[in-house]
Amino acid sequence: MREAVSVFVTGIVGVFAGMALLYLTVRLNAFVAGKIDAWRASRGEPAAEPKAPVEDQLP
Amino acid sequence: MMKGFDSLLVQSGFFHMTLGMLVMWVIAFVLIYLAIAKDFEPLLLLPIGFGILLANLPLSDLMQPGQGLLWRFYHHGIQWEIIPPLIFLGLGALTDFRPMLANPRLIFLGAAAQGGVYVTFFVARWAGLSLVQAASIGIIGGADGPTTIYLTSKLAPELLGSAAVAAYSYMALVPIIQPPIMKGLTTKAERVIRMKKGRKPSNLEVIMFPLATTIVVVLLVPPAAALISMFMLGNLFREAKVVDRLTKASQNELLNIVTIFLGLPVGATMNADTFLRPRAILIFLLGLVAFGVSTACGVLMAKGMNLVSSNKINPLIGAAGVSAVPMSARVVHKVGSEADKKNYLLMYAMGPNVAGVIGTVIAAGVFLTLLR
Repeated sequence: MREAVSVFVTGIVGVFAGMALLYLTVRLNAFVAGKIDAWRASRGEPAAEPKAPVEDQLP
Repeated sequence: MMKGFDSLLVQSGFFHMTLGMLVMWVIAFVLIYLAIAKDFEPLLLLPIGFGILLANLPLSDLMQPGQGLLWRFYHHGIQWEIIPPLIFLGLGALTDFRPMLANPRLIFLGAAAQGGVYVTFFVARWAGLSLVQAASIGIIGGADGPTTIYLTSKLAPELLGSAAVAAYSYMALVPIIQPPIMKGLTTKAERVIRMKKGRKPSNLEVIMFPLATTIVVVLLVPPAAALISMFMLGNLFREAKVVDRLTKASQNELLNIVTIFLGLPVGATMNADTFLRPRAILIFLLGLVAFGVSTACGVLMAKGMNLVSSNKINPLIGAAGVSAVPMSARVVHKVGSEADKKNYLLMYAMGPNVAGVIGTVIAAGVFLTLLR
């Protein structure tokens, strides 16, 4: 059971650490994307817009 | 001539039927009935039910190692770790992460809902199962079928059929299992909380998200790389909007094909000799515990976050941290609208819902890191 307690504690801490890292990633991602969009806007370029799908291109 | 007929009869399956096989037929028919008549996770329970039937037809050799058709599906598809990641590719192409990106703190609800995974792991170990078996049962609480199959096939393949059927059965029963727990842990005043609308993520942000997440999660838990990388690749297909054919193929043809080759062999692992044991009942009971505790942990986490934040979260959406997408988010919306008809919780609940998928993959990766 000692090993089970160890896996239990490590597992919960590991998942929360992983999700906290994901939270920071999402925040950082939004910050960087915002900066890139602002930089593009300052150069008169439009913000990243979805392109038209390429239907007839062969792999 | 009579001797020939005798020989034919003796070598037919009829003379090799056992009571256990008949019981497994009943289980197979029940699953097929639930899938067809009650619409209970039909995409998986129908092929699983048929797989169970095939595995319990004597002398058919469909699961004969090295020879049988279903054994080949199982060996090359599941044991070789091909089918669950391909399922994740399709799921990624179907998943919209915007509700989570709009309100990133909801990620912690997806983390809390993994509590049931670890509580059940501990209870299962205490009940006498081995560490790897306990992990395979605990992961049912994540409410993510492909992750359950992936982890169980690696850690405790002897439990694969039971764990998969338990996971998909309880996912179908989310509308029955979750509401009493959600209502029991919240007050009417909490259920009517209206949440503030989150910001709108930019297109660049949603394109960068799968790339960033792949790097972070694979660096953190390398054993989860197969699942998270395919999940995020599918999502990148979807959000980049330049590979429309690949997106549609991942969402439709590929996902449908691999679903067939997932369900059949998983069902076929459930033969009477391995399944009809008290352990199977224990797995189903523990799976229920896992779902219940995960739901409760998500709701309690939301209540805890409300203690330290002025921007209140409706605690019902914590229940969507289990990754039964989008079923549990719909259940949250339904329970919320019973308290306040004009409170539209579905999009808020999708945040923890998709976060829960990543949380379950991380939980599986942690188990693989510690136990493999």
